[in-house]
Amino acid sequence: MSKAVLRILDLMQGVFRWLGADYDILRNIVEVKFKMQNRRPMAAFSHYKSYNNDQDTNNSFWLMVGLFSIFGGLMGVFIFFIDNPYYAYALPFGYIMIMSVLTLVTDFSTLLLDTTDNVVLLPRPVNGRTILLARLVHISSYVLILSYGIAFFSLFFTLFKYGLLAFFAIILAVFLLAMLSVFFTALLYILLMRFTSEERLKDIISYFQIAFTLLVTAGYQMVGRIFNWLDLDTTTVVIRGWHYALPPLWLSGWMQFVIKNSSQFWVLSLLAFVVPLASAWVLIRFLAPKFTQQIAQLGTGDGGGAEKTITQKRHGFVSRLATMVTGSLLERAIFELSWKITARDRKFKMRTYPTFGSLIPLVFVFGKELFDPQKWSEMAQGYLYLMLLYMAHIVAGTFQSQSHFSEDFKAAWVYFATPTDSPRDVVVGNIKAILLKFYTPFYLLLSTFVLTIWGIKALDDLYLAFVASVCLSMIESKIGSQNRLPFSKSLATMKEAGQTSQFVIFMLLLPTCGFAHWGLTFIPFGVPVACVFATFIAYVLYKQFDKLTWERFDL
Amino acid sequence: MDKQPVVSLRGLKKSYGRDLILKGIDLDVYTGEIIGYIGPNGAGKSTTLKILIGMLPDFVGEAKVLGYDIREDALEVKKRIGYVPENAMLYEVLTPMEYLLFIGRLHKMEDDLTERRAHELLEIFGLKTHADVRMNAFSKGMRQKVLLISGLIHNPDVIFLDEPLSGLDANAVILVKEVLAKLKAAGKTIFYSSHIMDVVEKISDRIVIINQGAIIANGTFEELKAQAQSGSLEHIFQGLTGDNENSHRAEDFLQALK
Repeated sequence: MSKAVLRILDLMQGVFRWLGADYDILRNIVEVKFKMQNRRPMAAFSHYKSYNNDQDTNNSFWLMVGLFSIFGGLMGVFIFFIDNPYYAYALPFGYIMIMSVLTLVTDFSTLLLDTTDNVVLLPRPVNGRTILLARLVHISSYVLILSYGIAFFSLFFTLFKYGLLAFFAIILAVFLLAMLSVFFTALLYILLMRFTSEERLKDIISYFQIAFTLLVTAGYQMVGRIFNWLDLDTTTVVIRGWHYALPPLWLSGWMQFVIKNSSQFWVLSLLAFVVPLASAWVLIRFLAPKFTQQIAQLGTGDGGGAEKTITQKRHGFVSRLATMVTGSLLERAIFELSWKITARDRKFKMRTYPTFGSLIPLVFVFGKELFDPQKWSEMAQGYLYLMLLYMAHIVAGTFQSQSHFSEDFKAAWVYFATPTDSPRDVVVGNIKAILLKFYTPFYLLLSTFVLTIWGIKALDDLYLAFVASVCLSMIESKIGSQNRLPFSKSLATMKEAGQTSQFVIFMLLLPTCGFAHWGLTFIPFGVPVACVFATFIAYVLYKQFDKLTWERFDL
Repeated sequence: MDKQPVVSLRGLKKSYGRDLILKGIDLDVYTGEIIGYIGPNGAGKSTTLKILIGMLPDFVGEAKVLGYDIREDALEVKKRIGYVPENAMLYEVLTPMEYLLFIGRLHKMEDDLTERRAHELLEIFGLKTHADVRMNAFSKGMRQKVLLISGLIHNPDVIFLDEPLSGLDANAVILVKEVLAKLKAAGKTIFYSSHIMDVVEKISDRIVIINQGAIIANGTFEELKAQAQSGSLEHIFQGLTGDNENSHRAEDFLQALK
């Protein structure tokens, strides 16, 4: 497939020569860029994939396009179901745009902000124009492949339902969408680079990546329901004022204009053409030079360069909290260590934060009543909230199992060089930090929500579910990850290491606890008694850590 | 030996923002010389090199390499020089062979030629079995070897090396030293910065010491020795860069532990 792109470039080589590029070199750079692109783990799915496998991928980009085209095809189905193109195309078009912008933002952080480019290409006899054009060709082919990939099925649905003219109209529409996506991404980057440092920028982009993963995880569950929620009247078409603010609607307006000859859509159609073309002009005229300039500045300096020093306070809330909850100095040290690393390690955040999204589907379990305070009393009859509380453990479990992995895993030698006879403090300090830092605040938030709707009677349930979750965390640490030390394993070993045991806990132990809890609610005083009992179990499990010895560990 | 300098710098100044990194460098390098360019961290070594290879066009003063003005004929300069950067920066998802082929094409070399040279050079550096393995699993020393090859594969006339020995093991250091000597014998000019004093001392024809953006010493090892009345480059370096208090500091260090 990459070859096909290069063939097309070959056909256009005259154009590039005319633009002042050295075509052979341009082709070479684009080819290598594609090769590297295909070996990079996909941002959207890196959450699920092991880092180990990624070393072998040669087609990750094409794989991603393939997956996106399937999702895009699901969106495209609306073209058949809804007879008004204006509504029918809004969803696939919106999807194309959101996906392209997000993929661009996340994937291009690795491509565009890669200062390796500067070091590798600048000392070579390549003129600036060739590099610029190579970049441009790479980005545009990337975006076009992505956009047409997502639109793939929609294109054929259109041909099938509305015929050839509409087919050409949608081909044009996707092109315009791609232009808009590039424009918005470039704008976003320039704004971010203008106002933040390089380090901060990488942070912000990683939040985008998190949002992206969230969207992909929660995406499919939402599709089918969006239309129910919006209560769209599909028989008559009304253009509301706010429609003019949404680019996908301009283009679906254009489709309506072409297919149904509805003349009231001329304003939207006009926007659909004028804005992308104008933005392309702005991009080439003003933004691109500024952009390359900004990128060239990244990381070229030594000493006077972009790296900003971050100073941290030595004592603060964390150390006070650590003193309160830990027993020994070593335990306290580990507690503070995991607290800090989990806050600063970008990769850790990227691996973990999307799990908060795994709770999003629950919103649909609760349904529309959730947003209607009048219906809360009806909801308060059931025990649905137990599901919420136990699902919340997924957050605790994921954070904990991920806390064993780090890019700096080699630094774990310090635990072994430490003069202590028991690794207990190391393991326990980490568990406490993770539970207190991530799970507890999240759980308190959920609790407030549960207490608002279900009232004070849910208090004992809240307590029991929390203790159960703490117990599960300890079990997970003992059995699941064989008491792995915090941040001591490389990301490459993540796959083979204990993911299955985590799966067992999530799929077997967690539901068992949940259903047992539900069963207890039918027994008078079942839950309060269980609370006492669970606390005792937690205590016993906690004491078990004292038996840990160093023999079980190795570097 | 003709006296036309290969590298010539006049009043070279460079600033990042408000910080003046280079405060006027004047330097001539002649054909077949090995120049050891040393100085403390942040003295401006890498910046000088980056200007010389045309990576930083934004500077004040005059800089010529092989008679070409760097600002005007950067491409001509880049065709004839080799550069090995610090920090082992390369496209690590590629294999050494893929990377070297890529670099070769940037220099408009035929693939056959690049491949043949790459094969031989990789073998010499003991990377033959790794020629088709992706570099993300490579150690720093292995990457450095690939970078060295990539800087030399197009057979340049002038070679700029920025910390070329970092991460290399003792055997590889000896090998690189020998290679540099051979390159010199073949008439190449080598300009390199390093922290490793005894290597600089042994292989450099001339040693240039830079401190806080200015050249503070420039001469053969013997000349520097006479000037500083001291036996080793380490002492000369220490004397010139103003760090005389190291033995006091070591004393204080011990005191602080008590």
